[in-house]
Amino acid sequence: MTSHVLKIAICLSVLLSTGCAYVEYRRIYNVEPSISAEKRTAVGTVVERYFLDKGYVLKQKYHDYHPDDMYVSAFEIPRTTEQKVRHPYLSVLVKQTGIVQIKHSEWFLDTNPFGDSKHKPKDLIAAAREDLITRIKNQTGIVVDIQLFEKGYY
Amino acid sequence: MKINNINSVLKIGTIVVLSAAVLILSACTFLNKATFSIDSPSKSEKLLNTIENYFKELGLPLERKIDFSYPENRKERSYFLGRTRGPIPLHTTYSYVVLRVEESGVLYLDWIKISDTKQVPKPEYFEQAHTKIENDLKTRFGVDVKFKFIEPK
Repeated sequence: MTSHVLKIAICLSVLLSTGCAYVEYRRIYNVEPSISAEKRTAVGTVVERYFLDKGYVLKQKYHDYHPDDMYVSAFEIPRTTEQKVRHPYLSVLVKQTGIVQIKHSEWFLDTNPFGDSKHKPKDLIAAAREDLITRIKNQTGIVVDIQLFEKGYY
Repeated sequence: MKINNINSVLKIGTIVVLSAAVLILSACTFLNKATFSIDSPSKSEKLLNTIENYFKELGLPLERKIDFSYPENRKERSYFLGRTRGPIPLHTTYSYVVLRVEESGVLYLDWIKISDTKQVPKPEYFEQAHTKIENDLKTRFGVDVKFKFIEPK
């Protein structure tokens, strides 16, 4: 009887542990409307400076020619080990199509497949939206809106 | 009756655990890479453009083209070579070739296989391809190059 209980316990443990996994939290916002190349760079710079001032660490800057033609600045979001996240990144994308995008992506440990995990990140861009719109207007004179474009699993 | 039910549950549970183990094992992904430096009297950036044009003539599909400016200056060009299955149907391999100029100014070529199996790429495997590239670059573009294997760290 004990060995049966042990076997059931092992089966359940494996099932539960494979049920916990890291899943991606992703939000992409567009800075609208589409603007000229010169203004795009100015707006992109204001957004980058905003997150630098918040303590985000610039990790990479590059020009992606293909498949999309865009300038990318990738920041690492400050996180602690207790927060159980991986690859916490915020990127500012200045696209040659006229769009400035802000992308928030991080992988968190989902311990509650039936509801909200306590490790699920907050929407950083939504929280910064009003501040960013004001700062962009004050520093460039350009009136913009920041709208949700895409969200990941949650 | 009760013992028979417990046995059935255990059998089903064992099947589930074994299936999960097979899935986990077959879902492992390995990045297998062989790196070569491309030595040439030509400057690396000019050579990079030449090889890009050559790969374009060959019809290799360009996957990514990036110029990094921070934290260091470097350029990367990735080309997708194809997808294969095997040795068992659950396994898939994606092949790429990447050209990159590092901040040091050295031009490298990486042959990459992203696969469900770990493969140790031997430099001899690429000799034929390198000889063809060297000959084509010489005859079509007038450029001398030599591939040199870089031992993995």
